[in-house]
Amino acid sequence: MTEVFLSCDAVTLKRAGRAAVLDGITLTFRRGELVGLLGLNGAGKSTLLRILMGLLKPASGTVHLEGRLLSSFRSADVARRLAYVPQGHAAVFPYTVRRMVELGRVPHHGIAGQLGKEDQRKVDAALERLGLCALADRPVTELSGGERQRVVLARALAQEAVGLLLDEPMTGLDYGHQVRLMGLLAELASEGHLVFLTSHRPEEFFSSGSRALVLDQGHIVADGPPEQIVTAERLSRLYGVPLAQIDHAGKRFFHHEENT
Amino acid sequence: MEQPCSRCPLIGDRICRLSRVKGRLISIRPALIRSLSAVALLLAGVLALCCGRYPLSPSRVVVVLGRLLHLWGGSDPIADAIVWQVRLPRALAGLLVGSALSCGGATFQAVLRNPLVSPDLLGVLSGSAFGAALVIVLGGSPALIQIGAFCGGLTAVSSGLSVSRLLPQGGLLTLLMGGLIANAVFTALLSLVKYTADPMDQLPAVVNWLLGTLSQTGWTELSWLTVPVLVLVMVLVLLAPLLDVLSLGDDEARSLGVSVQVMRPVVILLATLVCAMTISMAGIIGWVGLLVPHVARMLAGAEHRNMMPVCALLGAAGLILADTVARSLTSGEVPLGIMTELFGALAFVLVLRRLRGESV
Repeated sequence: MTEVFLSCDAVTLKRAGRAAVLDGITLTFRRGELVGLLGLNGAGKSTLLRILMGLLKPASGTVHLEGRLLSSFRSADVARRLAYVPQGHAAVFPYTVRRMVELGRVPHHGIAGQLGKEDQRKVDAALERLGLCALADRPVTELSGGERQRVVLARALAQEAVGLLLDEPMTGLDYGHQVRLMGLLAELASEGHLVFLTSHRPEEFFSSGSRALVLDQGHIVADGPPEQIVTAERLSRLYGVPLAQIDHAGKRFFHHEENT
Repeated sequence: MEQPCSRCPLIGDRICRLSRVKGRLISIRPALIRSLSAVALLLAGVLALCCGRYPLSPSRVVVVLGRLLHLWGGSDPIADAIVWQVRLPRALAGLLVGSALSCGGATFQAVLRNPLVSPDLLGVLSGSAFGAALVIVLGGSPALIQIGAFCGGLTAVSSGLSVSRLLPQGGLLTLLMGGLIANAVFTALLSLVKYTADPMDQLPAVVNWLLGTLSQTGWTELSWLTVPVLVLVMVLVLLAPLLDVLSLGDDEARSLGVSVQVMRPVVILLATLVCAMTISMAGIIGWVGLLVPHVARMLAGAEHRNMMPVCALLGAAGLILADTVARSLTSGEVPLGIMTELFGALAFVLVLRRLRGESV
């Protein structure tokens, strides 16, 4: 078993006048894992992701990266180890796709530093991997939501971080790109990356994921291999709708179970 | 070394290679646009020295400049006086004010993630106006009025930033609210000063100052402000790559290792500083900080590393031209602030048309 890459211990976050958003969350993540986090809207999935990235301070509890307290890292050092794909990217200025991906090299060469040949090669590789070569010189403001999502993912790849934390990465992608993206994430995990994504669609990572988590009322209520966690029974309970499952060719599909 | 695009799931290798060749051609463009902008600035400078109520031929201006630099002798007292005492300081002031307001505006737009923002959003203009008006009413000298404007601008933005820090959750919205509050307070204070000002002499002086003009700028002001303004403009141009990151969402910028909480106020203070200096020199000159960044972005692309130098050069050229028109158009002089408001607003309609056209 590889050593722990990222972990959080008894992480709690409270908002004034409301029940705890996260209540004593303890988790460990290793390289090579593809972890999916399920939960209702407002369950705190994005909040947990932001805490693991060091973007939000928990009220109590700690986050460790490579065995060291996350808060003891310089922000550029965190950025060389953890990349973040936020939920929806609203482009304000029409930067080219290439420039957006180049920004992924900022943690490595600094703000003022010029991109070297090696940096350019990595930017090209990220563009190629996400199928963005033909769009490289297009302004991001002219792209569709799904294309923009791929640009942000390419930037995360150019960042060359071991950990990739993605907040609902499938949002806005057409079905073909959802399938391709899941394949790419599985490939990245097999290359030794830790891939952690939040999702509203459990089927997405059922076949490719190595681990599924369920966040409900501030607690991790289930943690294990997707085939044990992503079940019709658990999802029916979580989402409050009767669901039935169909297993076929190593995949699991869900449908609304009527007349029950 | 070309890598075959074997992994692109969508497109073939040939298209991918073609797009790289296109990318290289595009990478030459910024240098070309920069050079053309520098030529535009040079032409605007020549025009400013030649045009006016007493026209001078370019050759006569060159002779005068050569004489001023002790390259050759001779005597042409009228042309010497016009170029040295009137037009050259005004052109230099136009260069400083134009480049500073344009780069300041572009910086504000980037860090506040809003292309429709101008430097006055956080209160620098209302603060400067209040500072200058207060000193005018108190009977201060022109130098004190400039200091009052500068300090007023800085105080307004600093108080806006402080208010935003008091508000919970931080972020961009609280910054805008802080700016809104600072703007409201200093606009009210300006009105109060105007209300108490003597309507016979003080009030007209306040109104005149608020209109903005380069006619009061002489070598004394230039000797104080040239170096700091140029240095700050250079710093903003050098910080351009940082603006690309700051213009992303807070979380995105922080996930790239940039400390947004520290860098954003620092960059805002630098931009405020340079804007307050120009306001203290020339009064309130609107629209430049809003319009020129858009024009620069249209020509050189959105990437700040490419657009900021163009923004500085075009802002300088534009303001020198506007000032030349303002003092040549009529037998008197139309205040520059009115010219930039009028033509800036009209030009912005064209820019918006183009922008809207692109976004459809």
